[in-house]
Amino acid sequence: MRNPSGRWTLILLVVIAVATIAAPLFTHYDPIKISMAQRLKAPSSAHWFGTDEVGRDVLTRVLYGGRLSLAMGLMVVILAGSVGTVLGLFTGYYGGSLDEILMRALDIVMAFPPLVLAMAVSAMLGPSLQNAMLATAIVQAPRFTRVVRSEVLLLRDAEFVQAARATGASDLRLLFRYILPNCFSSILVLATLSVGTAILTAASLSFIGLGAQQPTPEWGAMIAGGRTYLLDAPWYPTFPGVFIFAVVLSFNVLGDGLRDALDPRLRGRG
Amino acid sequence: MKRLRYFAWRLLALIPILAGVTLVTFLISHAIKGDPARVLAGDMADEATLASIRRQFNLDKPLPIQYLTYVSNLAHGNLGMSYQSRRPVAESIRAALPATIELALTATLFGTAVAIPLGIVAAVKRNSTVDHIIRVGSVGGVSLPVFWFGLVLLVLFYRQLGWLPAGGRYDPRLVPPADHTGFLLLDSLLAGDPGAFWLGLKHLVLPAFVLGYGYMALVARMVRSSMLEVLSQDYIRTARSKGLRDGRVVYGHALRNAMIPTLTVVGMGVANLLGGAVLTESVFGWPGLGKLSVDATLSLDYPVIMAVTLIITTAYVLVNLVVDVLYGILNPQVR
Repeated sequence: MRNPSGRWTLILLVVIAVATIAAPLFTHYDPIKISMAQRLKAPSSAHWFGTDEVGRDVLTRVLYGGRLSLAMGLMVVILAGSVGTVLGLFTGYYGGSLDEILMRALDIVMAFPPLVLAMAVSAMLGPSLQNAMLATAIVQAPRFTRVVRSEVLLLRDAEFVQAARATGASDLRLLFRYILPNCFSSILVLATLSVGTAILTAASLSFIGLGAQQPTPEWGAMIAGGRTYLLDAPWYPTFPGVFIFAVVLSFNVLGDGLRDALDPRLRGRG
Repeated sequence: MKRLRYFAWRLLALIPILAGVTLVTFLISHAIKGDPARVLAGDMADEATLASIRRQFNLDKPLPIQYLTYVSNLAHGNLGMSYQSRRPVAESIRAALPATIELALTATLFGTAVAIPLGIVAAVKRNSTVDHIIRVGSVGGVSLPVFWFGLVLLVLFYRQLGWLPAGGRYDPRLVPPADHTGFLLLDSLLAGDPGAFWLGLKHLVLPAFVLGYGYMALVARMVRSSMLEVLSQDYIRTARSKGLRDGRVVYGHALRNAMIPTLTVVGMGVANLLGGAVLTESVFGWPGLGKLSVDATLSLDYPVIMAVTLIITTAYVLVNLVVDVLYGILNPQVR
């Protein structure tokens, strides 16, 4: 990747990911255990990010929470991306009334502002982490379907696909062996940008109270918890937010960088 | 004529979309576990009461009939009963709607008014320091968690500086100006009360800024990149070689054409803004639809959640219609 900001954000993401995965190496505190004597302590050498309302180390919870937020972002995108991609492949390739019905249905799903739909769906499913993830994935999948479908429409009559068809390749083989690999760069760009959006949406749901529940460390839920102590302990909601911001920003910059690198039409612009 | 047909077609296309949206909210509220009759009647109700409630609300009918009842109720402005307050949802919505419109409109106006000049400056002074600052600021804006941004600004402007109030729409100890329009700023002007206007404005400024920032960032980015695209076109070179002044070229020729692709992100920006309004209102205790819906979410008051979802989505669909129509007017290719 030649884009320097893309490279820096990739490094930042790797650092954050490693720090969250190797959290026990960086902190000896327990992310769940309560110690009321240490309640709402300001940042110090013992607690770099201070402590929360029940004396837990905020840095520790931010690191452990990062595991959850990053894993959630990735899993949402894997779920939404694979379902959305398969739908896009088939609907674009076969067209016809199936395509017509599916695309109109997606128009309807996409008529909802994403966060508002995610809220309604996860309220319906009940407040929990899994349901928040599912709701976020439902909101994101249509984007993958649309992007993949439009690529398939361009590719299905391309010469190399026709040649493969002439050699007797089955539809499934054409779709997954010939067409899908050529959609890969668009999927990758969308997926990268979507991880950021997914983390943001999931954190928003947790902030409202629909995602992760106490005492699970999760960035959005931590901000919601820290909100009550905003005036006495501003560090408490501030640090998890800094991490959400840094991670989402990194995925967005990375996605933009990938798009520039993979799409020659955009090279040199932006 | 062709354009008129385009607008008519666009208007007609609203019908299936809105029908689909109501179908989705209907199905979501139906998929919720639990018996709505029992929720309405309370735990103590006997079977006879439950049966009469089911009859009264058509809950004993097949699903398609229930959907038609739901739509016909909607058409009559009946959004159902709140589980929590046991009052019509429409009442709460009516009370909360002006606050949200006031907030969202201010945020959109602020965002647009700031984004367009920033985008132009960044494009015209490409790769300058100003451009870099604007670009960083706008990439950041798209990635900011609004609920957190709001809290950080509250710490700064309320706790540290003491310049702005902690939240709400008006000082709770004071009597707000007489309610004519539901829009506090407008009402205070109508009442000829500059003090109330100033106080209302101080409450509005932070939530509107927080909400408008992400939108502004998105639009500024798009203005910048489409201005860059347009400024590299042949006709711009022709205009310059005719000896036209820079200002004339930028504002007379380039801006109009750069606004066409910009319009396409406005829809997306508004979607984010409406979602963001839910979070912003919750952070600032702004008594609008978003706060209503978040409060309802916590008590799983489904009729309220679905009504707010429906109204916000309808607003979004209508905004997209306006954007499309403007697109048709500005873009000669649609003629």
